[in-house]
Amino acid sequence: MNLAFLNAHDSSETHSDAVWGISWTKNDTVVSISADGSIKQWASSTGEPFSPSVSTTDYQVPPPHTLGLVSLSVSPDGRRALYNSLEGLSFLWNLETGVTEGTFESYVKEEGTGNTESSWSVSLNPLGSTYASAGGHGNLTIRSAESETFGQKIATVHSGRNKFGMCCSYSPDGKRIALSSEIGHVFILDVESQTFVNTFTSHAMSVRSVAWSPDSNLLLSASEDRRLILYDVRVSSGNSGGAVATFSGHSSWVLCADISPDGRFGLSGSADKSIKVWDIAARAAVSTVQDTGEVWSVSWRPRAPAVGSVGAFVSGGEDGVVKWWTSAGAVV
Amino acid sequence: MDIDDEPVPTGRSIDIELGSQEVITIDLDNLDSNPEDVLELLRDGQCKVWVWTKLAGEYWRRGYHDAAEQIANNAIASFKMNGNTASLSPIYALLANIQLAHSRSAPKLILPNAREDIMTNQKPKEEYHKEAASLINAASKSASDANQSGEPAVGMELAFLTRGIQQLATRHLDEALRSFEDVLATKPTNLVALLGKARILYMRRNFPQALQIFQQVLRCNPRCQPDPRIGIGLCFWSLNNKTKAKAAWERSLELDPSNWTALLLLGLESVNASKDGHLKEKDRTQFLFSGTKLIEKAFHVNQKSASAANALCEIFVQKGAFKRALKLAERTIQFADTLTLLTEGYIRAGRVSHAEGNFLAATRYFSSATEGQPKHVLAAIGLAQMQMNNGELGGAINTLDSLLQAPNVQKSLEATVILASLRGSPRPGISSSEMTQERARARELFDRIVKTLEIEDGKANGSGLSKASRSIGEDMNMHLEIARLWQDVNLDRTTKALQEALQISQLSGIAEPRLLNNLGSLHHLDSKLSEAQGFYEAALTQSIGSENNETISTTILYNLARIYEDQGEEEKAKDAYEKLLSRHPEYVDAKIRQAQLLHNVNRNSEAHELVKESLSSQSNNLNLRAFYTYFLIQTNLTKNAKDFVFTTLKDFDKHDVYSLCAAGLIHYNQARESRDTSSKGTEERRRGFLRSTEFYDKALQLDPCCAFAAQGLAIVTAEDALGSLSGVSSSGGEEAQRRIQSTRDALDVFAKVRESINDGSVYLNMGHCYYARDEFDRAIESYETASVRFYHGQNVPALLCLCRSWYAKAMKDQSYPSIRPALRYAQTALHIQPNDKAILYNIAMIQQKSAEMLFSLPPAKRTLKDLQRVIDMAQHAHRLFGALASDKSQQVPYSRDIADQRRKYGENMLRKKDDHLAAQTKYEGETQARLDAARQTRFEEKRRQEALEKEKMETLHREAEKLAQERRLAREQAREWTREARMNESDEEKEKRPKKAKKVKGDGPGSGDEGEAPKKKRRGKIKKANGEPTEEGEEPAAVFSDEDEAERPTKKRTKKRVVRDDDEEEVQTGPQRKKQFKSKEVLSDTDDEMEG
Repeated sequence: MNLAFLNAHDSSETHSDAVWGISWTKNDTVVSISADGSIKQWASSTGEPFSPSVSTTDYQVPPPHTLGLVSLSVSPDGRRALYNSLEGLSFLWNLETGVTEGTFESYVKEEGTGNTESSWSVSLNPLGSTYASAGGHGNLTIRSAESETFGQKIATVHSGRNKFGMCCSYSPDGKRIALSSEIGHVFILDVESQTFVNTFTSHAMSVRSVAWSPDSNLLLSASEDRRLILYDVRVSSGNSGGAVATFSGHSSWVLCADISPDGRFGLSGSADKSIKVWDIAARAAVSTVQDTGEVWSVSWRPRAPAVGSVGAFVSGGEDGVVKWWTSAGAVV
Repeated sequence: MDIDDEPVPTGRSIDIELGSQEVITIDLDNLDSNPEDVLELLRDGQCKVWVWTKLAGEYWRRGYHDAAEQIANNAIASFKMNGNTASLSPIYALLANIQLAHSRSAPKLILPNAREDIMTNQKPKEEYHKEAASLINAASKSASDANQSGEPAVGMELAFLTRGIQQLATRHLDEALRSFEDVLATKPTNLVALLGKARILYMRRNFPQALQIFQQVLRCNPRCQPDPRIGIGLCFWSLNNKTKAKAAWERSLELDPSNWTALLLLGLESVNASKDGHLKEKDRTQFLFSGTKLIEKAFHVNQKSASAANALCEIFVQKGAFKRALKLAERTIQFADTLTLLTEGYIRAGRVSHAEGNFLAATRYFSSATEGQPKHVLAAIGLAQMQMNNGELGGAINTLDSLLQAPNVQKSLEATVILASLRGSPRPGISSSEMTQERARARELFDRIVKTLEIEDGKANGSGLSKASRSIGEDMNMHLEIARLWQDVNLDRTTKALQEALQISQLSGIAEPRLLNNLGSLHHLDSKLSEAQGFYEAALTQSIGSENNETISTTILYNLARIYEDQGEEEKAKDAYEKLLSRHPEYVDAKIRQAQLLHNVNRNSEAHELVKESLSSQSNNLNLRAFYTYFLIQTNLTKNAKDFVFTTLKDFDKHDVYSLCAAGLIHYNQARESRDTSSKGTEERRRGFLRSTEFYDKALQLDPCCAFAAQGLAIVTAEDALGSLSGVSSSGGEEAQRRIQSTRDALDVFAKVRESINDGSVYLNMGHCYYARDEFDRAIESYETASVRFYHGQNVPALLCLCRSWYAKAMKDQSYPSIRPALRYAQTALHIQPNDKAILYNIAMIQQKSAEMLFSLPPAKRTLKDLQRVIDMAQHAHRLFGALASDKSQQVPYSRDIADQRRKYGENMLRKKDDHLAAQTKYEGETQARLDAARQTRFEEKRRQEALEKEKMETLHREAEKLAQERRLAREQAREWTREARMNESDEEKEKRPKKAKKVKGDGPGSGDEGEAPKKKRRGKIKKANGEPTEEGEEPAAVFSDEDEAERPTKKRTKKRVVRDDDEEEVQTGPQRKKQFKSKEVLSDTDDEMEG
């Protein structure tokens, strides 16, 4: 099977530097973060900057930070965005009111805060008022996502390997957190017991991104070894590295991954300047979209696609443009 | 053709008077073979000379040579007895002619070691010639005696003819011709003289004249012996009238069926005809058959003819009857009376000996042939072949060279091909540089061959190449050889030659799989991956069923797997290698690739296992050892790499260039990274650099084209490793001087290395050199090339070098726009490698420096917006330095103390932020106000002007109206027209004016002044702001140096400052030009106004 995706439209403005993170929200807006330090919200239908329908609020977009933004996590209800900067300054932004509800300097290591390493990747807990952060030393830290206590440490779990945490991500059911490291290991934390229950070692190069299936059973990892690997988190990895499937085809680092809301399709962006759509059941690429620069981030539209359609996704890359892509129907 | 006989006597019987009246009549047609009776008769009868000669001649004609000779000798004896020697001259002439006739069937040269045709008991031609000569002398002596004694002179022509014939036989053509001409002077129709003359003319290639004389002879005597038709035919043949030639010979044969000359010539004609490619196969066989028959017959008639023997010999050679062929060849050699024939005889004998495997004899024959005719193609090729066979390749080359070189260049494609091939092949005792020259010569020769073939092909429109040329052109091996010769020089040519070879191979129905494979490899090397894949796949298909299918297909599959790898299809490649290894577990190349694939995805321990396995089976495989060295260095197992390299050099090959380079690299890095500053440590370091240099030197000695060794040495030079890096101290100025020089030297080398190493490292090194020379723009350019073209922006050290260069440029130029890319590159690097805290430190540093720089700039050179931004950045940097200073990690790649100092410094600096903001606000406010004021002034001025204009207009208008009114009375029509025209005019002008006014509004007055004042102010600050990182080289420069305040006042600095000022002016040209443009606009407005 082959699928075709068409570039529906681009954002009406561009970030002045690469887009490093992107997320299509439940409310059909798209949030993008950039190396230029800015975060923006867009209306998916038009690509125009988002403005709330009720114009009574003093909705405003936060001023750009002095350094690039590297990690973005939007709550499942699409109301709050958690994002983090290159050096570890975390923000919580209300996407509806435009209010920045919290900022946290994770790099400040004053006595008493218990901070040892600044945050790199952050992920909101879909169920509650916490978020997970990962960074140096291979720790996964659970922090408060309440505006008053934003960033306060609740717990720290060590992965057992003193390697940099490139990406952390809560499963949609909130029961697990996946943590990937600079040497390609993928750890699964059981949230309730706060223990790592699984370690997948199929990659040996940095994994920059992981994505959960909607049912929270499968995890897709994107690695600098040019491959994506699919794991079943319910199965103990044993000695095999835990791979269920391997997706090869990118000719350079795979930078980002996502799984479609119906769980059928994987999505990946790569430093080879292309985006690929993967049929998870068939274990094969079904579409390749050529972009102009490194594709740093991709995100499926969370709303289930219409019958007969494969859906739509959004991508952000080196050129600072947010691009919407829609399925042109299946070509068999 | 030979002149055989005396003139034919006329009578058929002869009467001899015996003493008294008795007359005995001898019937000349019925002579007894025993001449005793006749002799007695002659002696008794005291016969006249002419009777003796007549009888002797008659005996001779009948073939009784001995009898004739006997009669002649008796005549001499008899006349001598009578003291009447004076009349003996005809007898002497007769005897001379008999000797000449003998000489014709005598060997010219007697082979002392002939194997089949033994002639050692024969008298050679020369002896007969000598005897003939002495007889002729005797004849002339007796003739002159006769003259003196007053006896009637026997016809002078006999003497002349005999002498002429003798001269002709001994190849004294000029003399012979003179003799014949003498005869013809008195007797113009003397047939013998005519025939002799015709022969000489023929030999001198004067065919038309020769033909004329032969025809004259025929007219005089149609039954003339020897038959002039033979000569006529030969002349026709040479004049390219082959039908007439053939007719002449056929007629001759008709008259005398035993004429061996005609037989031979017709036979040769027939054999030649059989070679015509346009004839049907059947006809050709027929021709060959009849030709063979004729030649055989000719030989049987005259076994002493070299020509017949030669022709027959060829037939036997073809048939493979070597024994008989050798005999005939030897016969040819012994009887040949021309050099051509002799050479042919030698060549045939050589060929036969060659075919029989008697190489010694063959060599001897071919040598004799080339000695006689050095430019004979077949002889030279034959000799060269023998020399090759005997292993004397140099001799063979020499032989062919002298054939093909001036003087008298022979155009022989065959010989050229052999020579080219010989030159192109290695031979013992030849140095590698000589070999390179030889290969170049071989390429030249092949080029010449191909060109010749092309030309021939072009000429022979439609009919195609000759058979020989075609067989050369279609020799696949020749094209393969050409391909091989170009392999190291020009791969395009190799590809071309291989494609030719492939076409030839395809003509035969099956494309040679090895050829396809090679073509695949060539396309592969040329990065034409899909074409290469096509070739490999075709090769694989074709290899099925070929004789060594297994080996071929293994190689092809390996190549195919390499293509998969290069196309990014790692899975396919992996499968292919697995397949290969399942068939051939010892195929280490495949195993190495497996290891490389694992190494690519960082699975180094598994890769390591594979390499170790391979090594245990093939520990002496240098390629494998090279890969392992590479692998160990790549995986930072430097210690192991060092040990391994030294084992390779010590136990396996001390001339292994790869290992030498690796040893150089390892030594260099070790010495360079040594942090031991004690005197012992410094000494150790110096030794390391020295050894590194020695290894690179050695590698370069072994392979003068080794770009890696050259690059290694260039790095040594660039970093002055043997000087300053080794602790050799020198004054600052001197050091700077040397740095400029050594980086220049290194850059020269890198520029050359760049030609052969397609790799980012060269560009990185060039960047380092430019950086060291403070040529930051060029450094940035080089680093950009390395980062973008080779590392796809994924190489953190390259990104950091770019960051550092932009930073240095920004500091040097005091340029805020340059500091932004520095920050950008730092962020990109950190994004790729987030765990590198040194980058974070650098980011904080750049942020703080940005503010510092803008603080130092005059308000006119900065904007409030930028100022606000850098203050934000500096405030953030302040927090970051705090965090960095308080980092609790065991090891940090920077100094916590300095981070803290930076934090404090930032705090101090930021205290002035409000002042700066206030100053900037004030300045921009003032500027704005000034602008507004100026605009206002200008506006008012305009207004005033306009008012004046208006007034003026109104005055004019009024005057016009007045005038109009005055005139209205006089000319109603004209007045009205005039008034209208004036109205229109003024309308236009009104429209123009307001527009101008608007334009002026946008411009500030006096903007041209802005450039000067602030620049002066800034100069003082420059010194302080010049930061220079201490780190050099590829290592991610961990920290930007903090020594910037501790300025060393050196000469260089002053110089630098001057340069910098220049740069500033350059930077300023942009905005200045803009201003100029603006003021121009103002100016032009004024012009307009003045006009108005």
